[in-house]
Amino acid sequence: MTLDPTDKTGKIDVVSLLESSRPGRGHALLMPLVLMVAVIAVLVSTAGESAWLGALVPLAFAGTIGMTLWHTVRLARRQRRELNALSEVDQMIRLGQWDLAVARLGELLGRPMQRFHARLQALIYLGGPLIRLGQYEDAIGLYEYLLSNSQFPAGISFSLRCARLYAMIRLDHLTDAYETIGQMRRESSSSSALLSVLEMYRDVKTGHFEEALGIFQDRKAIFAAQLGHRSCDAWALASWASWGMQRPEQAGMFARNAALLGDRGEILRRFPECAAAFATGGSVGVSAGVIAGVFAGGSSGVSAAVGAGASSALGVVQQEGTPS
Amino acid sequence: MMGVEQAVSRVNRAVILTWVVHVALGLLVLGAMIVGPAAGVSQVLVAAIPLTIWVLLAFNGMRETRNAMHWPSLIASGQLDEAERQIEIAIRGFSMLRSVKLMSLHHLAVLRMAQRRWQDASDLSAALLSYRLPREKSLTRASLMVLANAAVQIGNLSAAYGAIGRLRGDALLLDERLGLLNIESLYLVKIGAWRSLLSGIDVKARMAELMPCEMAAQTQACLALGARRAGRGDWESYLKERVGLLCEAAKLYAEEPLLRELWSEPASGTRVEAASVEVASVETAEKDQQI
Repeated sequence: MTLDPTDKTGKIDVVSLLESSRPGRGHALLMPLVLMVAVIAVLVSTAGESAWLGALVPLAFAGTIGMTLWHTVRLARRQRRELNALSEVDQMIRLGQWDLAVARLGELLGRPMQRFHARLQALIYLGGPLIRLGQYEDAIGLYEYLLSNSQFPAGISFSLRCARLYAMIRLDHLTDAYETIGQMRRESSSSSALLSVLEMYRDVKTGHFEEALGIFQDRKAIFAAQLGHRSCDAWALASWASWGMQRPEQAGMFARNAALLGDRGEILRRFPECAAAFATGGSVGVSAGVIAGVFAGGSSGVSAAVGAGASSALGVVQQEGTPS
Repeated sequence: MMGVEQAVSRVNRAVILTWVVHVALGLLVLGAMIVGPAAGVSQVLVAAIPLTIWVLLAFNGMRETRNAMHWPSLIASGQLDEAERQIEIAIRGFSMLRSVKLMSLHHLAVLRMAQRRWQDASDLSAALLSYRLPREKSLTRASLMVLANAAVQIGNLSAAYGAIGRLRGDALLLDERLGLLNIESLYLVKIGAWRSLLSGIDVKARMAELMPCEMAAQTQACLALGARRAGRGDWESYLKERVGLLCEAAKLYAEEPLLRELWSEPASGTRVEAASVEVASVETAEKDQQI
């Protein structure tokens, strides 16, 4: 069954998903089990009085064990299905299959979930599509709900706060962003690349280009190490800062590096303000420019390939990767 | 530090002991049902004793399974000594659940990988794969991944080929696919199958973007080397630039010396131009066909 989690305007209805996904009563079998135990107790106490009652005791005993086992297996199967669905959502989000991820999350969160932790996980995943679809207010509300209602390990809590911070900066809630960054800096070490990128974002948004470039130069080493290809965000913001400081050549070089590491369209979707800097020097060179054409299909090309098992290099098909 | 043989023999013993305990407790319950009335004792009360032991041991096994779930994060965060200590305790102790023992053996193999003790990791994974593993197959796939990776590192290419082949036959999760792409790329560099390495290079380069930094850099360096050997200068320079933005070249070829070639100047005339690609393709065709 596919449940549409979006409302009439095409937006994800977060409030109704929060309500509908609350785990139901997980002890539906408790009452029959208690009754069964009570029956056994009565049978045991009266077993001496008649032979046939004595014979019923092992039967009732076996019935109770059987029912408990059946219930446990059924519950475990449902929980496994839920975990598998979450793993699929994770994969869809990473492959950029946003529509599929939204539909799957709608299925999961549209009815009471089996486990509290699975629900939290699904809600965390929901934040991704919300930001992707530009529902920043909803994303902030969701992250606040998560952070105020649950205790997460430090790493997860930090990531959630970073995601909320990004949404704040996108909405120009810059005072809140300043406060949050200050608080996060006090609480954590300065070696978080993600937080550094967000600090750069805040600085370029407020016109503090030099400060943004300073952060970029200081922490350049940790961006790639911690973020891998997503360090393209730092390069893109550095390009914006350079462009703001009237250094078009540097801006062009940084934009080129950003486009080498990540999909240009995705980068501009995350930081639309970088468009000007990318336009002045966003060319990614001859080969990479042609490759960008090969990749014009965006993430869907990768996801299709992954689905079809094309990741295998051992295939006998000689498919020339022709960037020309 | 627990040796491979010691760990495997302990797990062997524990698996047998687990079966013996299961059978013994089952027989005790059955015996209680039959003998209880004859001895004038309530059969339920007598049967409750082995059943309680059974439930307690199973509960303890579940607790151990939960503990085992912390080991990957310990290994990933570099707390190798603590991970080793906990895994050794799990291997030495008794558990009612066979899966706990198998899981411990797998995590010991993963730990040995993190410690770069490739031979140990390979032996442990091979030993684990000789057991009848759960139908769900995630443990089988994880173990094959460790085996393939360790075998490529120690140059046991036939074992790597076998493990990679088995993995290709399975439906893999995204992370497993990414891991397999990394292992395959290294494997193909080691056997010099440049044509296979370049096959679907655009998708591979795109998939590498989803990998963690070092894995992404290594995979793309392998692809760049393949492009270089096939005279595809455009791909070579593109991928090399990406690798350069991810990590230092020296770090990469310290890990895998074959990649050093990528940063060396090509000797005159050795750069394979378009015309000679055909020749190179013919030379590697035999290897590719074997694959």
